[in-house]
Amino acid sequence: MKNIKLENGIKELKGMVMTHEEKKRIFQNVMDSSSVKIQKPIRSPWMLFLFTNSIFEKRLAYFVIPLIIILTSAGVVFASEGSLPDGLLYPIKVKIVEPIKGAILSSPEAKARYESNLATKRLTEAENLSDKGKLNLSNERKINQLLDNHTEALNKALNDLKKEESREQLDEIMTNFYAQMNAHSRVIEILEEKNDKIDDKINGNQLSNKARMNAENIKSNYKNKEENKESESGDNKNEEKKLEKYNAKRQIVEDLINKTSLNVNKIDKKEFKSEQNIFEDTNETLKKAKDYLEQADIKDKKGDQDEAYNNLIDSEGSIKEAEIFLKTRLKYQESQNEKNH
Amino acid sequence: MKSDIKDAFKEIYEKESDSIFRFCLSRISDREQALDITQETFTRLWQSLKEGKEILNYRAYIFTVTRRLIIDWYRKKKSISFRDMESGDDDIPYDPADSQTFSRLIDGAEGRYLMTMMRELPGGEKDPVYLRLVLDLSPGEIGEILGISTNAASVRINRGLSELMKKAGYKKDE
Repeated sequence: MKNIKLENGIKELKGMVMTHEEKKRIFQNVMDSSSVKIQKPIRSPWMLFLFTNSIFEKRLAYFVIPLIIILTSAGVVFASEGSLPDGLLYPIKVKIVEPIKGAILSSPEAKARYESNLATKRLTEAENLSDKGKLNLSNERKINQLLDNHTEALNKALNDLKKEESREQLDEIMTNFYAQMNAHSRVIEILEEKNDKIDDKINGNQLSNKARMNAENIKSNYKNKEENKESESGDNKNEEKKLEKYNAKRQIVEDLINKTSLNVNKIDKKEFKSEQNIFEDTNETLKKAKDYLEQADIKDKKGDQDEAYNNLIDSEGSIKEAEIFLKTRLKYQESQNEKNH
Repeated sequence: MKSDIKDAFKEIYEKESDSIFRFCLSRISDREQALDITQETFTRLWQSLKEGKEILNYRAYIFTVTRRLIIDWYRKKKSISFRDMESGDDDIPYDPADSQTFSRLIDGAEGRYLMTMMRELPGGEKDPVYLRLVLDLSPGEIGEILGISTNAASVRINRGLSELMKKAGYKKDE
């Protein structure tokens, strides 16, 4: 849309800038902000007589608080496991139980898997709420915030994993996360459409958009970094190793595609009628996985090993997504049957 | 390590500070307040970098922070109702500056006219169009800032741009 007046208008609007002095002053103020120390509040003399104060003062808190938690809340913890965002025990689950479980994991791989699983769990909670017609704005916001926290923690753990040069584990966790986020986002949209809650189909569901965006960020973050790293160290010695890695991964992806294709063919299409959207999405992602595999083969023949491997990763992500669709179909079919009976 | 962070911050500041300032100024029509919000935005970025927080997309991060600070500013100073802010409309309000202030802010008749026309765009299209045209953000970045998909951001940009051309009386290839 070329128009001289529009271009001139934009140019004039872009002329709204800071002066050199203002720019310099703000930069200096930001730098100086780091030297501002937070003042501790003045202690009250009555603090001496408080039991809780003596616990904290003598650093007994490290022993006393976990003990109290264990003794008094074992039942609550157990009960909170299955709670949903609209439940009373949900904050206990997401703010106490899950972070404690995460804190005792030591390896970056375990941490990454844990955070990825938690992100998936958040989306399945949203699915459960949506299935009951209870996914409202407040619940969506809670889940959105938690999704961001899990993605940030996953990103940190993957970064540590990358430093350990555990590329295969990193790829596996990354593709699993990508597939889970995309598949469950779509399922939420389908369930919400059933509830007639997505009026503006262009905008989609905020929660689904957020999950997809997080998945894309994680994928681009690690894929790109690995590409750079590999191209830097790309010499002849590595070629053989890359080919070996490519062939091993290709076998895994091909097996997965065959297995999922078989499962899709076994499905009775009449039975799938009520979940037509999920069926279409399964077929579409399956096709995408096959396309990526073909592209990988073409690039492999051309000798572009890095790109070929990346296509394999994309194919693996898509096929895992299709598998999740199939499993979800079964879950909601059972739930539908229960409702009908 | 610390100097690495400082260098990275300096590079971001050099590249983005004018855009952030322009974004603030277009919304609140008060130069000193716009400078304050710009400073606060970069202070938060600097603190986050120092604390070692991983920022996946720093551009989206600083624009999101700025947007929130502008909303906070309106809540404190302008008595915009909470309902307006939470109505699901992705737009944040524009301060209705008087014509004198407006002339001081934008140095050029064509720019002032364009800004006025952009302010008249329907809710949900103002921000995407402004962020794309004046701040050169990509649809992906706009989507991230507004919490919508890239596809939805593209749709809003194109729809808003057509509407803007129509409203302003601009014609293609003119």
